[in-house]
Amino acid sequence: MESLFGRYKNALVLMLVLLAQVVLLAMQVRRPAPNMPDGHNVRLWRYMVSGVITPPERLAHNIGKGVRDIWSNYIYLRNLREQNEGLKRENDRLRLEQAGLAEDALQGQRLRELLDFRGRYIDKTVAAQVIGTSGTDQARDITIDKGSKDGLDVQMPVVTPDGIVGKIKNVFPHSAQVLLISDQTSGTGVLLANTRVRGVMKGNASGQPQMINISPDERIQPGEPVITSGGDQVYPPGMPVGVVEKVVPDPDSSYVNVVVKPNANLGSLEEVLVVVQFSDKMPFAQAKDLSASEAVALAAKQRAADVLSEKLPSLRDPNAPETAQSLTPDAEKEAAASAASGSEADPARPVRPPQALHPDRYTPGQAPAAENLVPGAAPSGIHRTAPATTAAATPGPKSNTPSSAPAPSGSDTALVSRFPAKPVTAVPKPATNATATPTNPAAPTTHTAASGSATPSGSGAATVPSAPGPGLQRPVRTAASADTPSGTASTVAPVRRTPTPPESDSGGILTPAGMGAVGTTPRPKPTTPKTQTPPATQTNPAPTGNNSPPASTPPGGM
Amino acid sequence: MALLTASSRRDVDPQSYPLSLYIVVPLLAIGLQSFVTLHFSRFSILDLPLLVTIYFATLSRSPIAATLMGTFVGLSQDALTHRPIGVNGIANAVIGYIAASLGIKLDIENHLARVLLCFVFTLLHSAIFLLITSRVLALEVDWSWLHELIRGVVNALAGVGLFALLDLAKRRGWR
Repeated sequence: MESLFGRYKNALVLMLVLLAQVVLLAMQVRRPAPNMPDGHNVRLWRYMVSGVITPPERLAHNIGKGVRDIWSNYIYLRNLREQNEGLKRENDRLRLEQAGLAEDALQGQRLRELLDFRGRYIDKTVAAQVIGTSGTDQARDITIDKGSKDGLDVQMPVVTPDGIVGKIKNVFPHSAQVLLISDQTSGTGVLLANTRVRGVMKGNASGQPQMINISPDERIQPGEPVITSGGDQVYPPGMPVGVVEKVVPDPDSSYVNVVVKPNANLGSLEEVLVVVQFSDKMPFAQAKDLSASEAVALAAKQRAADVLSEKLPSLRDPNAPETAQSLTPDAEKEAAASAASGSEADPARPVRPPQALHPDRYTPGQAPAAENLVPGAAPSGIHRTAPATTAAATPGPKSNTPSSAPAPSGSDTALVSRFPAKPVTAVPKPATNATATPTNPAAPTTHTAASGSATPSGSGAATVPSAPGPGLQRPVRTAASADTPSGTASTVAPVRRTPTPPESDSGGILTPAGMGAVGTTPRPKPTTPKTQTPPATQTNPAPTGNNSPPASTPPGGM
Repeated sequence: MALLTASSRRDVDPQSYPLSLYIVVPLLAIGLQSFVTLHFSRFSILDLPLLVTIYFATLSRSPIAATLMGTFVGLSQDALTHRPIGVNGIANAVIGYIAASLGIKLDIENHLARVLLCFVFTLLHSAIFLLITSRVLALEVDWSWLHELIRGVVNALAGVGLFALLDLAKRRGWR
């Protein structure tokens, strides 16, 4: 007997070792302990190996992470600004999308409460880093650096912002094993988002997740999103899983298998989130975000209503001049630029505020001052509109504007009296500062027109006579910024010309500067000596601010 | 074939390592296998623990020691997975036993012999693993001849380099 053992001791040892391991395998397969899938027998061995292997892995991972952090945080910052801008844009876009979905979410929340449905919301998560894998193709699992000391337990779902990853299979004090959804032994309750087909997803032998035993359905097409159904009591319902990659027939049955491409990159995971706590109600932070999104949605609705009311065809006067015509090229460029920027930032935002189509005496800023009213004159409410573009665009011979006059605020159109019997006192004066603002205190009478006040800011006083003289001077515009929204008028270069009766021009009523629409207005007859108004009859008070030029009498007695 | 057989006294002498290396090297191989695969998924085609088992088995030329060492390495590999413990333990124990038995008859310092050993033992390991997985655990097995051949070639080539590296630490003489 002793010689037999000595002769075959090598083989006997091998047999004993193999037999022991087969028994060990059988015990693990047949007797899984509750909440311990592997049973009590091998847990100690897993714990010991994990305790030996995991610390060096954690150390190596931390060293590598430190090197990568040094590189990415201090050296490789070349594209950081561009990335920041891109992320801001994406954040704005996502906020708008979230705002659009906030109302539906709140409605769903209310309905859920009404029906007494129990929700399952993620309440608390623990971030963990992946420090190792199984090292083989046969077992799709990873090792994370958080364990039971951090509140982790078996069967807890592990997710990423892209989608689910797996669930915790074994947990140790400072590490845990995560079973990926691509493993053969995993099982996840999933739902096709469009066709609402439910099924169980598990990995195949090559590590590809697939929904198994699905009834053939032609509606299932590649690209359809796959979400969790919540039926496995592990993952909360509605979490993204992946998209359908293809539908393959099951060789063993008449069913089909739906191969799923997971959203999370299971091959190169670095950081994951372990869901350690669920809640029946929406977490506070999520509810807060939802409320903020609802406020944004309401604001967007209001803006949309404003835009809609502005663009309603019933409110548009077909006879009214188009505001675009009254824009100078610079103003058009600026308006286009602002529109472009506005459309990028917020498409629902109107480029310009609504304007009055028919300014009348009730329009703020249009009523003449009481001291300027003349008994017997035409009622101030009777006006006709004339486009202000002519003078603004063609400040040449058509506009005989002897003096600069500020424009009424917020008016696109020039107001011209229908009754020219009472001439307007025009006092030419060289202008040095023709800046005007909408709140110009030197608001003219109703005879004045808004020269180039095409913008809401109502810049005026863009045309100023060149020099005092017996005749009218033709103002020449050297810059076209008078019509820009900034409200800054341009400097006008005086041009001498021979005195010409105003009637010989295109025939407009002599109006103060900026009354560009005069040139397009039919000239009434008879004409009056508009240019011979003595300085004492000046009706336009001198402005007090810098926003309009002083309307003083020129020394020439003009 | 004569080139591969052990003929001289130098070939037949047992060679040994410091005892600490018998523990450190297998654990290092298991840790590297787990860590590198995390960053390079293709690295999983390599089986460093198996190569270490083969090397120590052929070096020690003791079937019992090689069986125990193969069991230890295999069980440690299994512990890092969620699968039942023992699959790799059985496979590596068998590989260790056969490698130690062949180590007496082969010139293990010959590179060609090392390539052949690694290639054959890799295929044998795959066969045992697949057999246990499909028959004992009743799990689906994705099996491909081409993949296994590639795996064998890769492990054989890597084994030559690894064995040369490990040769630097061995000491000669009678234990």
